[in-house]
Amino acid sequence: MSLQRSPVLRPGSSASPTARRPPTSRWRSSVIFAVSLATVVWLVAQLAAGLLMVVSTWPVAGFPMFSETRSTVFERRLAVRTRSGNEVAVRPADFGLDELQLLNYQRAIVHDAGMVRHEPAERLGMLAAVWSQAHPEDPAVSMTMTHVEYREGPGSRPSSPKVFRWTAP
Amino acid sequence: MNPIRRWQAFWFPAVPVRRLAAFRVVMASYALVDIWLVSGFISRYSRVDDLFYRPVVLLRPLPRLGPELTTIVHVVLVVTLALALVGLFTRAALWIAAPLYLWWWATFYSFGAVHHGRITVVAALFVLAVAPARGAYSLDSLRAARRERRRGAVSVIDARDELAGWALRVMMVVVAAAYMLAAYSKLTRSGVGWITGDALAGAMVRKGTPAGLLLVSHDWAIHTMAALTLLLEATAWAMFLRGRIRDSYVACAVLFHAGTLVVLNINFLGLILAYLAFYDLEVGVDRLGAWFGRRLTTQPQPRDVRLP
Repeated sequence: MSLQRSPVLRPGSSASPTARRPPTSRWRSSVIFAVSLATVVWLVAQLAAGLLMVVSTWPVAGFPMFSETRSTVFERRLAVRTRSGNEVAVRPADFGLDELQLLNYQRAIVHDAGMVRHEPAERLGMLAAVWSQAHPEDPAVSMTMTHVEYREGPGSRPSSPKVFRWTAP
Repeated sequence: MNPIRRWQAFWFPAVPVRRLAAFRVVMASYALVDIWLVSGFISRYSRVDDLFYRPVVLLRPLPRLGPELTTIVHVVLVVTLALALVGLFTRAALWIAAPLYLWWWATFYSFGAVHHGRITVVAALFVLAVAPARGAYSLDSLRAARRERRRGAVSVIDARDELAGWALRVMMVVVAAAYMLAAYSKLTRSGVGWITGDALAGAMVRKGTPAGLLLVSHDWAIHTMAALTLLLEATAWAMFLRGRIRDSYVACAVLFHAGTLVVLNINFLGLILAYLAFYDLEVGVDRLGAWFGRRLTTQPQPRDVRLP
């Protein structure tokens, strides 16, 4: 069952594959030409996105998922201290996000392998502000992110944790 | 044959319109279930703080929609996909549904995590909107047939169309490209060493499924799975070969995705359904119809009753 196996017939033609093709209308030719041109554009864009491994151009995007050689195993904990002194664990649902989305926000603060990106405290502060908006009765006065890495793979001894902290001015 | 003719012959083979129509039924069904029952949660993202909104390129020129407009988009999507499924005002419905479905998922992917499972569905809705997807298995085709009967015209039962062939060809290329570009990424970033690297193990730990956590401590299992993954992705061109090679490849790919669902909790059902673009669906529909016909017309046989 395939495209090629079927005899090529034009729409509306008689059953015989040897039947003479009816003349194609000018409108139809223009449509085919336009679709053909659009196909070229899409194909070039898809190839470029695929070769450059860009995903922000979705749905014409590359497919770099799980392509890194070494995937670092790590653990991240996010917590806030509220005005009343409570220590509360922060969850993705507090922001209306899923786990990966919040993780990717945290990756802008510290890379999976532990490299610190710019302005970690400011970024944590912005996160704390959003958290506080959802908890106006007891807002955050500080937020802490702890990053622990397992360099030898899952189950191995953790590296010394990196702790990032934002405190309300 | 000159290159332009060769290009046209590859992209525009005249195939039965019924084949594309059957493909429409499958993809519109999936999209409808996806929007109605699976992805309704995306409407909540209209309330997520701007801090997390990093729009994909496509959405950058557009404003973010509020909760009310997002709900309207959701309702319009459900209605238009239902119309596309039954084939009523099919083209108009698809032209509305395709960009809205694209917008719907692009919005979700604009919060820092892009997934690839819906690319084939987006592509399918767009090519179905362009091609004559309403030509069969649709209320539109029934209405057209009735009109033609009234006029005394004879309708073509097995009409063929180059745009129907184009639509299916695009889907084939999208499916094959998805795998081959994934293999390209792995080979470019990590080389063949990806197989013995711990990328897959790391993903399993992050996803934390019971099956993944069970497998992750067995290096040989992880390396075998990684090797098979790379082999499957790099040989996706085999889907363009007919017969048993294609059937075997598709069977392996379906098993592979069942595995990714169990081990990594990644659902690629939209991609699996797009494999149907490689097959003569109208033949399958005919066989299914004949089977149902036989079931309906077979009279129940009186059973022999044995008395003790």
